[in-house]
Amino acid sequence: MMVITFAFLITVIAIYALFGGADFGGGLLEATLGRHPVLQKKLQATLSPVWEANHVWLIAVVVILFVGFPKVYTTLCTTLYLPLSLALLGILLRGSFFTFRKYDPDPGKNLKVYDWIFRVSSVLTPTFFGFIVAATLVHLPKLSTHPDYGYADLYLRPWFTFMGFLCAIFVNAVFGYLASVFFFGEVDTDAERKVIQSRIRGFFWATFFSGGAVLFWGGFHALVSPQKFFAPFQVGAQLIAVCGIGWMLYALKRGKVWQARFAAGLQTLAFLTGWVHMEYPVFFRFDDGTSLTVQNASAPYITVLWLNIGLVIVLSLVVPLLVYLYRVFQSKPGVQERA
Amino acid sequence: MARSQMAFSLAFHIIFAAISMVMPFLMYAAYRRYLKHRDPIDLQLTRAWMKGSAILFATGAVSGTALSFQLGLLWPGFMEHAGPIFGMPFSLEGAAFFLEAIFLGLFLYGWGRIPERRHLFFGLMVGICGLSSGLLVIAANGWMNAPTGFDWVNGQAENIHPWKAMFNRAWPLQAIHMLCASFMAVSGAALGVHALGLLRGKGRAFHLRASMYLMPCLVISSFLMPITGDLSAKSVAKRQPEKLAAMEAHFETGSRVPLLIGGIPNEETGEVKYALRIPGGLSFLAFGNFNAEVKGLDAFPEDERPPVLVPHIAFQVMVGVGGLMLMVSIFWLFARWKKWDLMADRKWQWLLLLLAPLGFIALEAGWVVTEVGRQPWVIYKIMRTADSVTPVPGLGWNFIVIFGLYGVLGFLSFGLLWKWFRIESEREPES
Ligand code: HDD
Ligand code: HEM
Ligand code: HEM
Repeated sequence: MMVITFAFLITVIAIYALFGGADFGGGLLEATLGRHPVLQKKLQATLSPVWEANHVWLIAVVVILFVGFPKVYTTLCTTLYLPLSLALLGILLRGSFFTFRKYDPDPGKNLKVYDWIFRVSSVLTPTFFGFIVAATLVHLPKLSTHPDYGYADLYLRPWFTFMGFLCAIFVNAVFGYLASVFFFGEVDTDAERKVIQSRIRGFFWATFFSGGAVLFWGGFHALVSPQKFFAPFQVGAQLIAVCGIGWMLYALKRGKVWQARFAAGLQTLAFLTGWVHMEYPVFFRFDDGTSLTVQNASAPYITVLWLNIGLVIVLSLVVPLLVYLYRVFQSKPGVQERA
Repeated sequence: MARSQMAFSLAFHIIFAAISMVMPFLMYAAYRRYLKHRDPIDLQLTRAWMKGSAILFATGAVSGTALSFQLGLLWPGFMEHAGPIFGMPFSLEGAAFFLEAIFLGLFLYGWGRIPERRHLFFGLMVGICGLSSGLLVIAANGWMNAPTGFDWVNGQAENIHPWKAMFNRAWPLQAIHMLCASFMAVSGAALGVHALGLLRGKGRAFHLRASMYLMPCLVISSFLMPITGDLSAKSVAKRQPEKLAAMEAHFETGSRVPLLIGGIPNEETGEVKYALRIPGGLSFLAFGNFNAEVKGLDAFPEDERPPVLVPHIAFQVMVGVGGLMLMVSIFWLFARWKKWDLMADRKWQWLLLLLAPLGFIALEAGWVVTEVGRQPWVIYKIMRTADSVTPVPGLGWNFIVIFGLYGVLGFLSFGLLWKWFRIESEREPES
């Protein structure tokens, strides 16, 4: 049962990483388009409709965690409370300033403020997600076994690591990459395409190098067991992640927007699966040798059972509706004027 | 520190939550009437309320997300045990909210793109989902007041029944009372805003039409408020007698207990000063019998008594507002019967403006009664607040950041809303 819940958890994280990621990356991309105001406007228009829906996936993650894996949730909320709060701060600021910017009928001087808070907070959140991801690799101190530890030992050092820094860059790079590939289909002149293409390339190389650095650093410091590191599954995932770029570029060249998006999505999913494979079944490790795993951290059977049933029902309602929403959004307004 | 942060965030969230539980219905009603009579003013109103729903939806969702993390950040001990038990309503709330977000998207972007009837239906669905999401979380809160659906063995929950936990005894009444409260608070506040519009003298037709929708909401909810509130009080008397005692500043157990109106209780001496006493009143209200025995605070061990001053005052505020609103409603009904044109009267407009914040004040006060009256327990008779609080030090900073941030966000959202409101109400209706 809890394995199914875990599968749901990863699926929801994957969806959030793809769509939410493209959304966060959109803020970063917007910041790099300072010299192309027309493109910025277009980008803002494509970001608009999806925000509310994307954001909900994160809440689904939280709910699955605290209902299905309460100990994981509490660890996240105590030992890692700093990066979590900072990521949360980013979400809060980003969401509200996005809405303010969109709905302010005459933003005037505020526009600059809205813009910059939106962009900075778009980077803030993925950055701290990166730190949190890195923290799943190290051995966290347990509050109860270290009465002598100070604040920094307990709440800062576990996650504020060089690895965390690398992961933060990596997450931002991936999100920026996703955003620029997704956005490519929305521009319509050759000059604009050129600009976006250069961004795609830039973000790809950033992803490539930071990802390489993460792998190298992780391998070098034996944060991951070599067995898993060189498992065929793992190597395969990494290969897909890297070689996907070939497909993506090929699709771009032939103007197949959807194929390119698909390829970029696949690359991201490959990173994620690789990571999950490396970590499974562990969520967090502690320095007293214990760890929280899918099996030992899960809620009682009956709760997990109902959670799974609920998730199946909800997803089967939500997915068709989301598709419908998307179709409506893509369609052209008819005779009636728009709101 | 953790407590004030939690209380503050909740108090902030609840405002947006209440609005997003009610406003979509107003939007729906106006749109429905528009489709029937094709009166452009109704369309204008629909749009105004739609924009309001959209802006506040975002702030509500964002503050709710923050809350779902904060529960863990501040009360890890609580969440670790409670999560699997009362997770059901929270998951369902998440689901309802998800659907609400989608339907709102469909409504926002559906203008001219989907058939009108279906568009209208989506508007209704926004309201229904928003409402259910609000009422579902209350199940979680009700469970904290009346924990069921598990056995508590050596500090661990066993034999968990998520459904039993969800359908706890406190939920139905709390949910209904809160439902009416949201309608009262939101319609009262909106009426105040439109009254201000009338006072400013622009967009008359628009504001009058708005009050045509709002006034009945206010009247109906103000009649339901004392009824549901009284039922709540009776249920509290049975399930959490010490909360009732605190609310009513009732220190000594006895029969034929007077009802205190007003008054400042002194927790040390157990005396209440400056109160009006109605003999046997409390006995009657709590148990329907003037001679019934009502437990006072002295019936409970010292370390299980809730604070008295705060719940008592908060309770008086809530009931006071309820009474005032009821009088206003009765007056309005009377005026209608006499065919007076109240809305054109500047005095009445001023009155509505002054009443505007009261509904929300009562709403917050009611929550203070429920939450503070439950102390020192976070889960009634199961877990103490002190045992569930986070071990993380230095929350002061966290609080300051949240406080400042919410201040700014609240200010900006309402500022924006006001801008839109002016634009929509002063626009010439297009035919
Ligand atoms: C517009 C707001 C409003 C108004 C006018 C009233 N209430 Fe209320 N009351 C609430 C808003 C509220 C609330 C905020 O919605 C609460 C907090 C918790 C809850 O479920 O509802 C609440 C709780 C609450 C409780 C505690 C329930 C519990 O702890 O489970 C009682 C006993 C009452 N109310 C009684 C009354 C009475 C007798 C009123 C007489 C007019 C009244 N309320 C008016
Ligand atoms: C589902 C809804 C709610 C949940 C799960 C919840 C949960 C909690 C928790 C865990 C605490 C901490 C323990 C404590 O100090 O009592 C608390 C306290 C508090 N909450 Fe709530 N709450 C809910 C709704 C609300 C709302 C809507 C408000 C106010 C508008 C509110 C106001 C307070 C206050 C004032 C306290 C502090 C009480 C004190 O420490 O004396 N709560 N609540
Ligand atoms: C009794 C108190 C509460 C009521 C009536 C209430 C009601 C609502 C409503 C109506 C919404 C939809 C917001 C919108 O449409 O703008 C919402 C959103 C939300 N609320 Fe609350 N809420 C309460 C307390 C809480 C608490 C204690 C939590 C903490 C976990 C919480 C978490 C959330 C979250 C995460 C959202 C965002 C969307 C989602 O649920 O997925 N709420 N709430």
